[in-house]
Amino acid sequence: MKDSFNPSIEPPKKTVTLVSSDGYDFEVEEEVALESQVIKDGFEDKAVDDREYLLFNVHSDTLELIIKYCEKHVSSRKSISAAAASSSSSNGEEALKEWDEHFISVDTNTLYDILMAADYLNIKSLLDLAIQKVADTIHGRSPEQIRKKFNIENDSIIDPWASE
Amino acid sequence: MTNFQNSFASGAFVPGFGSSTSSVLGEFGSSTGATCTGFGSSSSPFGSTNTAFGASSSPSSGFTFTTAFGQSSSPLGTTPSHFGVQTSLFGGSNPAVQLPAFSQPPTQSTPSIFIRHPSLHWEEVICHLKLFNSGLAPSPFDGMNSNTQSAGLFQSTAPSLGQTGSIVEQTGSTFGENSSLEMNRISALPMPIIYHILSFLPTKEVVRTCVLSKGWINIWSSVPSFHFNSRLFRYMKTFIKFVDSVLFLRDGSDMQNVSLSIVGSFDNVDVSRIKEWITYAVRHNVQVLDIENGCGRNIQLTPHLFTCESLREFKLFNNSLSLPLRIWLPSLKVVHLISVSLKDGQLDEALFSASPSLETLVLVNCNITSGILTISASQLKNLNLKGNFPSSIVVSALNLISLKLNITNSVPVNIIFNGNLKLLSDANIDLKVDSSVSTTQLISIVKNVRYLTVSTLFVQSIAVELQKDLATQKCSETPFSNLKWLKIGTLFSKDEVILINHILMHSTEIESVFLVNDAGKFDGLKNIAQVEQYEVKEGYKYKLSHLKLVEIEGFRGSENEMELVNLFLENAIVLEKMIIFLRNFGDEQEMMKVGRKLLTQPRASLTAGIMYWRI
Repeated sequence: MKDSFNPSIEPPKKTVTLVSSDGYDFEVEEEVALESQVIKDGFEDKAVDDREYLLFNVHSDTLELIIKYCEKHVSSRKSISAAAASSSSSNGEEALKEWDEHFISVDTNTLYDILMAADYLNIKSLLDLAIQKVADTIHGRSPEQIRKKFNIENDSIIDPWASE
Repeated sequence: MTNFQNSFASGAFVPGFGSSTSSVLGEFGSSTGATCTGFGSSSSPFGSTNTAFGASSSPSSGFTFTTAFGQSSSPLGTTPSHFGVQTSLFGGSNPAVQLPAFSQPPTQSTPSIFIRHPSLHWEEVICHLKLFNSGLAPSPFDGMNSNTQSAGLFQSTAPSLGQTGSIVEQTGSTFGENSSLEMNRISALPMPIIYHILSFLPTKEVVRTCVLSKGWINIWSSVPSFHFNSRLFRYMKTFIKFVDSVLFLRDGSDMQNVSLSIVGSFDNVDVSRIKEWITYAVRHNVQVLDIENGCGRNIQLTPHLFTCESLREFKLFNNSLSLPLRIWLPSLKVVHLISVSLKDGQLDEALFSASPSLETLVLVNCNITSGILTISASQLKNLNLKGNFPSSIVVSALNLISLKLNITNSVPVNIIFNGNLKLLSDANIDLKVDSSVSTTQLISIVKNVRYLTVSTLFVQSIAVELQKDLATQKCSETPFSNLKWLKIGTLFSKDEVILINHILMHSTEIESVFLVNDAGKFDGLKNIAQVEQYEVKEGYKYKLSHLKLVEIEGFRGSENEMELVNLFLENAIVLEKMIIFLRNFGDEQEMMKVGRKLLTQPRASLTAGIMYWRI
């Protein structure tokens, strides 16, 4: 973790451009883009002036959310780096958790878009967050409720009453 | 994914086709060759795509769909011939694949051509076509709502389903008028993600997904994670039968996570079943095994468990553990033993020598009756000891990063750390009774940490030791010079304030300080560790040049507390926030008085904000 005590002596922020599937450019700080393992993996090989990433599977609406998430996580990691790293309870960590919870409280379609984008960009914490959210919606529901929730057509040949 | 990443890295979106995919494409545009460019400019069934290429504004959009193709770990190679054949069928008859048609959002789904070929995954074809459309020509979608758009996008990853058989039964329209909202999106997720989702659920619920639809019948059987929880069953016999059936009917692939929560009344026969389940897990190369025993009987652990080479994490709760003679656990990284009684009361050194990769060891309330606990693990990074321990603990772990000690013995425990813990960065120390040997030891090991949490009692006991220690300190070595984060439980007694001052004085890097007033907790035990009052040097003068956050819990407004608060305000030049949680001590007016006093204190930092809360 970089120490960022005095922001004034830091070099100007480097940025990269992320292009959404529908052709919108998003200029984000390098650090924020590097939250994505996919971008990180190929980052060093790319020329500095060619830091543009075409994200064909991510729509601008989703990309906006993803960037919001990454920015939040980068900034909170900086400000409460210590608290988050410590095993003891820390409000910084809790606050971020709360923020995450709020962030992922979206409609089902957006949730899937986030999930797929997190998978595509390989942002592990976000993927886990989205997956946990989907799992929560399944948890404790009856098959009929799950079908309804996810619009699964009931063409099952299994009689649910036969099992158990 | 690898293909995708490669092309990503190079920056040029040269076709990243997997070999199998290209063969498919070869059949796709057989008249023009299989290359990407050939594809783009071809007059294959998709000849009309040319316009779309031209129209798209993205610089490399010509390759868009190739990238996306490469990204999908598509096993298309399995059905290439069908693919080619069927595709031309699409091209010929289906208006949906002719891109110009998309300049207006099509309202028609693609109905009649979905004749099921017995061995063809139609949805693969559909997915690719949808992908093709959405990827190639973004512009026509501009007028469409984002839901429709994203629906097209998600399809692009669907092909990977083919690997294990797609569960998308619904081949209905992606672009239909209301389709995007009603789509069965969960079934269209890639298999690894579906497994991942299901791995968060108890196995009972995972198995239940088989009734959802035809496509879901067998999903459960390949999920590699198992959470068998007897609490979810009314009768233990049903639970036993359930687990037996799951293990019998599953697909037999390797297991990743197995957690067993055995709570309820089990007889001896039942308990022997559990032993067999563990054997099953071991034979299926289980990586994470978590056993919670709440049935009152001891679950015998099969000796095979201790030679399980795949085992990465082992958690045992409320059981006895007897280590066999032969142990070899090369992958074992994490061990949690909670309320475990060890056979002969000894945590055998064999365990440590047999698990060379051990990184995390958690021992909570374990019954260790031998006279000495020796922990020796060269790769150990996290050590957490809680509860009663033998009177001597010897730790040899040079790579320790995080240490948590919460030792509740009522007699002093000698804790000896061999070697210099240079990497230790996070320490949390809570001792009930101090012994000067271990205190000195502990002070010496926590000197270089970045994050330090110490409890009230430990603060009291180290106050004196540290005082002596600091007095004799040579200038060459500065203790606490790495400290960034400090949390102290304190009664704000005079000597503790001195101690805090001493620590802070040397912590030139400190950024956050948390002080927890434990006075309430120890009200009955006032002056537990009465230390001699030593001379107070008047007026500590030191700069807290990095301190940004101060938080005080249970603030009472005592003289000592105020002294510290003033010290922070006067010396912390970049302080951003001081948060004070008041202890509710009744007198409203008194509290307001303290608050007003705080607000009028001179502050060194211009940006410091004080928050004063009553809880």
